[in-house]
Amino acid sequence: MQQELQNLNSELKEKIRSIPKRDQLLLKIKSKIGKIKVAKSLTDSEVKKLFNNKPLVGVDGSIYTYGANFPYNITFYKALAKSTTQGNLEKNRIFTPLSDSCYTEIEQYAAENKISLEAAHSKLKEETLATLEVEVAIQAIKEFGPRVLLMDGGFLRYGSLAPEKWQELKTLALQNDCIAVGVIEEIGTFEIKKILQDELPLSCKNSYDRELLFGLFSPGEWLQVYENLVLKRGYYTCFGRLALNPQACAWDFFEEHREYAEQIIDYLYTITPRQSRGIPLWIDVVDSDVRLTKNMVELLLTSSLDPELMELLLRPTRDKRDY
Amino acid sequence: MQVVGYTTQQHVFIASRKRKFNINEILVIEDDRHNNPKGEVIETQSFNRFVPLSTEKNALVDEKVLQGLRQVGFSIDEEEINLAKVRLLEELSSPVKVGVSARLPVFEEVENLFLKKRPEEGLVLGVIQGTAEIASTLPEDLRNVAPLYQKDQGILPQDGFPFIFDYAEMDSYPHIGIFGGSGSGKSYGLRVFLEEIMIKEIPTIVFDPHYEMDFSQTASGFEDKVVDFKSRFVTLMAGKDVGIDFTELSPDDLVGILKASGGNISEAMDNAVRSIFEPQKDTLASFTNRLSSLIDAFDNETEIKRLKNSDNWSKLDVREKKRYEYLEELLLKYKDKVGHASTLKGIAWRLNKLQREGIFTKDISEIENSLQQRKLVVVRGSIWLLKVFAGFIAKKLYNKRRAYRDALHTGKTGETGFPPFIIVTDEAHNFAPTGFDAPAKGVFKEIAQEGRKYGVFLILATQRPSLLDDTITAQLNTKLVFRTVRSTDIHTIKEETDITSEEGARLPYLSSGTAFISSAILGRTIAVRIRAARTTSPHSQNPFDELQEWAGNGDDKLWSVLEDYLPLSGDQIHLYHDEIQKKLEEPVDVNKIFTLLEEMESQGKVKKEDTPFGPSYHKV
Ligand SMILES: Nc1ncnc2c1ncn2[C@@H]1O[C@H](COP(=O)(O)OP(=O)(O)OP(=O)(O)O)[C@@H](O)[C@H]1O
Ligand SMILES: [Mg+2]
Repeated sequence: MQQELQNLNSELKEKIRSIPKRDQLLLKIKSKIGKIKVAKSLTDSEVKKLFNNKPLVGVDGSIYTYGANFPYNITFYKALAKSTTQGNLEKNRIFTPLSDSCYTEIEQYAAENKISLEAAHSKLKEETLATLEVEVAIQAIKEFGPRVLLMDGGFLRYGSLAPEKWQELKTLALQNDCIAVGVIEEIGTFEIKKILQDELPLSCKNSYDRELLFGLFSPGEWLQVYENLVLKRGYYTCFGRLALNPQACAWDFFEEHREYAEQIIDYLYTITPRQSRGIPLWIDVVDSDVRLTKNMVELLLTSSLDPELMELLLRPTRDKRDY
Repeated sequence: MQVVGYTTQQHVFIASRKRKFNINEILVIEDDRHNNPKGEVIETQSFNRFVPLSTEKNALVDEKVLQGLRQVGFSIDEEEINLAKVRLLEELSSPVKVGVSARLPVFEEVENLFLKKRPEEGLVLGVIQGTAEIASTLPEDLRNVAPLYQKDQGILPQDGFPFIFDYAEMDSYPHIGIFGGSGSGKSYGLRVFLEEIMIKEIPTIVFDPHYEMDFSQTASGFEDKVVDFKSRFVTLMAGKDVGIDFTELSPDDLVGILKASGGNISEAMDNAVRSIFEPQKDTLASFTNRLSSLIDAFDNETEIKRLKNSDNWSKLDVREKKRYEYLEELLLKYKDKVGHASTLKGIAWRLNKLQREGIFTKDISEIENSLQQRKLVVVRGSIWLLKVFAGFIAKKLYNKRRAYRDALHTGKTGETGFPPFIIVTDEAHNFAPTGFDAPAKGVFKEIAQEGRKYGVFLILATQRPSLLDDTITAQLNTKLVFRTVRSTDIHTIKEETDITSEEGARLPYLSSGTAFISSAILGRTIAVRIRAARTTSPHSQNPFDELQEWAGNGDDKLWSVLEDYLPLSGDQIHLYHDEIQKKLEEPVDVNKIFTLLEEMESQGKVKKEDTPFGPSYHKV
């Protein structure tokens, strides 16, 4: 095993080493992808002007599965929209294959997509969470009328997991002048790499954008992608680094909101602690409000389900092992 | 307020955004499955749940970030959450439901918990901590019965439920301990206790080694509602107003008091006393006479023998002969038992010391009379003297009370009536130490164990509960525990009370005058702020302030007189001594004059010259 790890280590090292030096890479990016901008902290009056007395709203979701393997488990979902002025909106759901209605849903999904029940279950889980998040965001636009809506995660995920609701959200946001932003902490795309493909050494052919962008920007720097370049269809995406952490982040906007990107990134920079992972504090605040923990879930379960049922159906097998 | 997080059958956590919790307050938890149980706040915390998060490595969030959020309406400073750990007053059969709300109780809901008695029926000792916010629901007769005191602010209004000690319950759960470190509020608390005792006219005897229990001076702030205690207590000096009747001593008593007077005595002395002393027959005079004769005999043993066998014997007159024969007789009788003259001299020295203190010149009839009149008797004296007295007095009074009760029981008549009473002492570990003997220990122990039957109770205060005899400690059914820092004492307290580990952890930090009252009468521990004392100790003045006044006054006056006499040489001081005293209108020692002049020299107010005739002092 050790030998294997050592091999892996040298392979990865080689791969990272082969990424062109910062200056070279920047040159390439500037010529092909976009302009490097420096974010600035907004003054109080600039913030006021941007928001025009409307609030900032953050949306995040949380999921916790308790129990053993399929179907002996129960999943808790929670989606939260938190406004800086009006408090929280929350949507919750419980889902378990042990309940007949849920089970039928899984069966149907499996049949439609020709996949196993387990796979259907896990796919459904993802969809359910994304749908709940979008639903709560829609409700927040209606009830809170935010100027900026921060979603925890990229737009592609919502678009593919909850397409109809997502379309509804987009329409509503555009109508209401609400700028939606998808804050991406871990870049999982390789759009940039694709464009630079020909100019990168062969060993980079499997690299993600994340590796290319690591340490590329100085704190506050971001990449304003050229107008004619479409990285994700319908969306406008920018990359950058807002804190001391060298890992780059990305932000999705609706194409229609491209003009606001710079201002919004300046605001995000303003509310991102220097010492943090590079994520706006508001996202962390929402995250801490929404997060479901083992303790909470266990408390909920033990206070509402009969102990015998718990033991019979849900006790995680791992808990029973006594080593 | 809402129940959050884990709950168990004994504890819950309650959180609130708006309200800060108060330690020891009672909350009603609205869980109808459990009949809305009540709990006491035993730990409080406030924290901002967002401040730590962005901070991975604990760095602070930059101000610009907070400002950026403030501008859109969110102030992180207001995201404070208050959390209380609450101990349920009664254990439940299953955990409290998470999420139910909690609220402050109203008077009727906690009345039974806090108030066993009304002020007229109990001792009003203080204010129950954590009841401030529900005090507005108090009925009229419970308001303003326990004003508080704060050193810099004077008298403050009662801000909560009064704590009223149900002293009648001492019949079932006797004796009280008052523990706490130096300056924690024991003496002050004892004063409050004694004031209440006097109001209820419970006969009480107080041993007061600190000369602090005097109730004639009204504390400032109470001038408009003076309770006159002057007729309810008497102060007696050990050896002056009260004493021990020598003829009533048993050999044990005598050994005990000799021990106490001189630190300790040797086994030889112990034996010697027991052989020489003739209980019930001996008066002080007969005993000391026998003792000194015996010493004489020992010292002159060979001389006596020689004289007996010499020609001179016949020349002696009758009285002298008699005397020698008596000494010879004593030697014959006691020599084996006593061994050595030095043993006897040790005894004589101790006895002499006691005699000088006046212990044997009076009896305790004054104490008995005052108790009969339901008064509080304060007996003062140095600690060693009181140790001697306490044992003797306690035993005598206890026996008297017991004889009376037993007589009542068996229907015998003729025994004079004697009331139930309380014995109080500070520094109790000196009277009944653990691991050592002391004159009062035996009787204190007996009263601790049996006193209840006869209506004799103890109130024992000490800084060092771990040094107090443990059979006694175990019998103290009510304990007032003030601030305690020493870990051995905290350990003893935890063992001897139902104080919880949370309360134990607070002991070192209690403010002066706040105590945990742990009592079998209450069935639980209550934190109480002792009320303001109505009277003040004769020496409650700060000793350094006192020193200032004292040194200032005397010296200033003397100096103003002396100044006129400068320059002064040594022999002139003797010359003018009388004159100076006259001007000063009080006697002053020549040495004192010298000392003052030296002091003034060191302060640069006087110049000193050494002359062949001694020093000479000049004006500067
Ligand atoms: N209940 C109280 N309310 C207000 N102040 C108090 C209270 N109890 C004590 N104090 C303050 O604390 C001081 C010290 O208290 P006290 O003399 O009773 O201490 P102590 O425990 O007897 O100490 P020691 O063991 O050294 O004799 C008092 O002089 C008083 O100022
Ligand atoms: Mg004291």
